[in-house]
Amino acid sequence: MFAEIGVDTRGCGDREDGGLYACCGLAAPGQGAPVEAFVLDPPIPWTEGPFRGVQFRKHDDGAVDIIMWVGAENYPTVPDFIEEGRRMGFCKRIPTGELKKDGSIAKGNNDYSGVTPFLSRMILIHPRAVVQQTYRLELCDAHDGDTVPHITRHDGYEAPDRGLHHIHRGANDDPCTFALWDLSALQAHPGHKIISSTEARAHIQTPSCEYHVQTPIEAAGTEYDPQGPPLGVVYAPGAFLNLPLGHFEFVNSDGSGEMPAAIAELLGDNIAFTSVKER
Amino acid sequence: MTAAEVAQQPRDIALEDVTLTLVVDPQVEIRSALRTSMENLGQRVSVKLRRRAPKNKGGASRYEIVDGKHRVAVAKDLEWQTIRAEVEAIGHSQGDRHDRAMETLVTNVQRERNLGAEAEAVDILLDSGKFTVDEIVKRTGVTLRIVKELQSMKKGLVPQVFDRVKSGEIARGAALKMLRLDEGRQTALAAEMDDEKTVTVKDAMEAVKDQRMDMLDQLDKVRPQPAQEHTQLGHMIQVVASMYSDAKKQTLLDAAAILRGE
Repeated sequence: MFAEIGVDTRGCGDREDGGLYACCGLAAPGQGAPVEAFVLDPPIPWTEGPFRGVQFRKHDDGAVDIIMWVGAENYPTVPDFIEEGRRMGFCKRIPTGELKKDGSIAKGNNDYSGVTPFLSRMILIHPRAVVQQTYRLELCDAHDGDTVPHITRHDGYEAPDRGLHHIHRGANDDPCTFALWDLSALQAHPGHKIISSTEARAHIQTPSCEYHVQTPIEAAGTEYDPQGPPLGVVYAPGAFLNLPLGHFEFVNSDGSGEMPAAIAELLGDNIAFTSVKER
Repeated sequence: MTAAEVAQQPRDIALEDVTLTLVVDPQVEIRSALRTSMENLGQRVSVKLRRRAPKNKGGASRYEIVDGKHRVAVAKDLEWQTIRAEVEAIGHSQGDRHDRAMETLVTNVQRERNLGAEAEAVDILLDSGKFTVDEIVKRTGVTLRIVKELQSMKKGLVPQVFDRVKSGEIARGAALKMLRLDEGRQTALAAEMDDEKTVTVKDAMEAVKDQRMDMLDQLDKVRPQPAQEHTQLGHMIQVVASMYSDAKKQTLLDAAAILRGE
């Protein structure tokens, strides 16, 4: 009934029994748009610090967006999160409040009845979305090979319009969100392994996927050397992805296909856009 | 006594050579009581100074205050010519820098706070790579919260703001709020200060609020393009179609296909 959500292990682990998830699934083959179309470029700096749960943002037209934080503990880099979603769809647990013994829930701020699937957006924030230093990257073409992301990157001198994806960022330029893929080859983290790297490309492995990126020419004023020590780049939090909220999923592994009435109450009419999964 | 010990004995230093950066003095009562005491009884306790290089080659040494800024301030108010001081021997080794940094933290937190000096001391110790935050806490008795706060101030405040924290023009509360501002807003807020106006906690909170609104306005602009809206509406209708049967279902599926441009 709903767009597919992969149930394999994700960067944040397996889905939990009793968990409610906001989802943006994969479109049927030949339909939909590539994940690159949903990337916020340049990223929007987030100045409020990390937060748990969700924040709601209501618009004049009545649409309510959900803002969520993606922790670097599970997804050390922005491409780790996006590449997993490219393969499995996006699925993020949302708080439901404490389920009490009598079956009621302390609702608190967790009221999803005002959200409208496909009108509401899921806006994702990551602590390493905004590059704060200069960099130089290789040219690329959206149709080249198997490296990601699938964008075309121009030489800045030939295409001065900074609305395009540029190969270099000076001190006063906006960073390009898609540079995060190349820059992710500079430093390994738990959950973000650099399997191999050369002066041209790197092979990245996460708990849920593997992908290839081009390696940068230079970052933070230092030339990239695949044999050299990791280059530390300074990042700041920012909004990097803007997905349509497609549906909700509730995980109930008892096989009954049911969800508690208290959870249904949080969803309101969105119960019509909610499926119950065993995992 | 050795020559070094002799050099450490308190001596009279010309007040014009002592740099006093205290601009805003919130402790009016202390200064008033101290002034009365010094007027009547003279200077009872030596201040502690550290010698700095002269501004110009061949010029007189300058001194910065390690301990006793209120006494120096009162002495200048009273138009004294000199002040009795113990002058720290200048060591140029890293170990000497680290010892001075530790002493700054211990002295200031016990006596009078100078956030800027304390923050610089924490920065020196952490940057050396020889001390962790926990080790600084253990060796100075300063709490973990304060050490982390000082660390944040040194790293997170732009130089124009940090210098004003150091001089006392910006107090702790306002400085902590300003940490939430991006560099541009910090600089702009500091630029608004003049001889009479300082940055208060309220000013900083207003700037934080403005920053938040600007950020949320940018997020508000993240709306789907009309083509995307139609496609997504098509998906939504397709989902709803699954709840119907027969002719109604087909009508909805046809509508979904049209919206997706099929």
